[in-house]
Amino acid sequence: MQASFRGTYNDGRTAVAHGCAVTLLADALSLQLDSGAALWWPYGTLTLVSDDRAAGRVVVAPDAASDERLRVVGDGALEALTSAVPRLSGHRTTRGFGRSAMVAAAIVAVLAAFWFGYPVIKDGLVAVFPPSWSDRIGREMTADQALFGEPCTGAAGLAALDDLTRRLSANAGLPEPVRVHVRSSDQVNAFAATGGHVVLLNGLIRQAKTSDEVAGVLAHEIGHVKHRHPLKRLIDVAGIQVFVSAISGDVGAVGTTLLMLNYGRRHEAQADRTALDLMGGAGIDVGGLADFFDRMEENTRNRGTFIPFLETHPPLAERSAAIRAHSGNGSVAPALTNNEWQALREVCAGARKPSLQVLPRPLTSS
Amino acid sequence: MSDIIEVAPAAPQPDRLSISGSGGSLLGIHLIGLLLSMITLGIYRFWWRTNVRRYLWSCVSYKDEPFEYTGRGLELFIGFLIAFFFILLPLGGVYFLGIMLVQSGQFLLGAAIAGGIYVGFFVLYGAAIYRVMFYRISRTRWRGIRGALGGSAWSYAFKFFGLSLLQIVTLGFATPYVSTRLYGYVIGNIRFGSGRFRCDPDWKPLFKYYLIPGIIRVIGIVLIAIGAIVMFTNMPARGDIGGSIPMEIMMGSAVYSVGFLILGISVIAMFWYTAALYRVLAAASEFEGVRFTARVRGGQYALFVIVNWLMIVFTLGIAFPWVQLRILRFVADALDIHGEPDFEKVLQSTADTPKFGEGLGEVFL
Repeated sequence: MQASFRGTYNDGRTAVAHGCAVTLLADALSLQLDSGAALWWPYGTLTLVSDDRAAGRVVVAPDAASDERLRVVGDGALEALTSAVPRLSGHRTTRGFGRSAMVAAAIVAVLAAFWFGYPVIKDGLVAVFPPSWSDRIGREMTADQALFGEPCTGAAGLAALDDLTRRLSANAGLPEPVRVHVRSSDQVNAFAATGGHVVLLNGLIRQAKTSDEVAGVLAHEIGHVKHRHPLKRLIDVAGIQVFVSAISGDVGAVGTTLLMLNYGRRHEAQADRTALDLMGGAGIDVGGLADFFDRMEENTRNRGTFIPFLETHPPLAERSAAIRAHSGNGSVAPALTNNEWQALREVCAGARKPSLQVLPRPLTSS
Repeated sequence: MSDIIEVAPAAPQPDRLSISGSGGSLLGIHLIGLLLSMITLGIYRFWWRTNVRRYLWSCVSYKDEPFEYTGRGLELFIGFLIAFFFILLPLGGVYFLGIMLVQSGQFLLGAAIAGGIYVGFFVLYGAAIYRVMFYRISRTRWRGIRGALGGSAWSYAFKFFGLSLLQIVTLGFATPYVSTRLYGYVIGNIRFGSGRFRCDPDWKPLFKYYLIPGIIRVIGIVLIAIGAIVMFTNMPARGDIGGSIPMEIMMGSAVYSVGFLILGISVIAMFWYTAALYRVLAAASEFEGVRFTARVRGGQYALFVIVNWLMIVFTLGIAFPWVQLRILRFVADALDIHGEPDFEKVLQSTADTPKFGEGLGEVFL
């Protein structure tokens, strides 16, 4: 290995470049300036300023505080220097397989910590979240009259609905009591908010052919309440905001949106399964929910705007097939009597419609 | 060789900056920075930024000798903490007090306090810009010689405030004057060792480049305002949206959208102005006898910026390191450096250097 190179020396007092010969000694660099002066830089304090492997260029300083610089260019200069002073190879701008492996390991470690650690943190938060906060947030989420319309007050209809809710949630083991509200919007939709607040929109009740269909949707929303999905969703959204603002860039947003999609689909499937159990327990035919999904699917297909990948819900056809596979055991009776069902259909009589009409989209959850 | 051929001495070839470095290495630095920032709730971002700058500075060479960035992450972090706790929080507290006063009925006093804080933030914003450049230039070395920024952040801040007001009052048409004054002040205060830059750019040749985008922008803003007013004045009362949308609202929203389209066109037209600004600034700059020329044309600059945007958008940001290097190469290719200073006379800098990092810039920019 070559132990001597040509170099350029800057004395740190003027911007002049001095030519010099550099020799690698046992414990120091020797600089023989073309002007005749000689310098001696011990390896112990030698500091790498920058290196460019592609150009074979190294810049070093005699110590970290010095203004003096030495630039060496040439084949093997960097290798000779780093083999004489191994400490120099650890500089930030060096690269190679070791560094790539470290990056890959760091990526995997962070993703794993996030993937396994986040659900644990989230469950902890859900467990200690004060019920009064849940309730207040739920009320505020469902308060908007411009979007959902006025609360519906038909007494007989609400009594029938409350009775149905009680039967469905009797043995559900709910973490908080369910409070069902009907609002006058014509959208075919229902959703669960935090604090056990469930909202059915009148459009859904009017669209349903039988009380079993409404019972199915209600059971699905109670399923969300049972698994505390609305609160989990809220924590996800808040967490994403903290995360995105913390790294002060938008790079994270894409990945986390995909993550939410995944959670969304899992939550819907979980709520569907619970709905089947609850309906079975209450002696209601689960076929109603499947019928409802089938009809919704037909509607969306006719509208022609259904993009399966981007929906947070599993495809409706899949869901109704899963439900039908489950049906057919145990004795069943209609969810509501004829009179009750008629009362529920008229529950919104006289309630003012919302001023905003959003395009109907079947069954969003939370 | 022969006396006959050497009729006129050929102009010496201008110098260029040269750029090395690879996007892959820079991506590695960004990825590590991103990951460590995630697990440290953002605190690592000061070290991330430092590592990126250290790499980028080392990619730029003049006369085959690389620039150096000697800033440190800890300096940026402390600068941020100082700005946050000693400037942003107290000012924010006083602003909050003003708002509380307004709400409790002391309208005039409260509004005066809140308004004063607004003006204060505006001035501080200018100071923040200058302090950022002050720090970065003081942490830049070449051949071991430090850079420095003279002038004063407050002087820049008041210029920035006054000139921004002028820009608003003139509907933007003072922009050429404003940008030559502000850039001229900064460039004219840059020092390298004992050597100093001078920069006295003239705004007049820029005015014709600003005229077209300026007029287009005013038209766009007027259309947006008209469209918005038409839409709001014809908005039906709450609750009675019938089956069809009123004609006036459709017209209003059409005018509104066209306004935005025209505003977008003015952004494109500004590229020609910006390229001209770079040419004027380079031609007006001088360092110890060294002159500069920026060979950048409007269309070329527009294409350059649009390709950068597309690269970032279509790779979801992964191409960002390559775009950073592209910007360095673009500058290096466009900037001709005529002559060289007498390096014997460029002595080490004795200027003050800031102890801590960009401070306010971390909060505002």
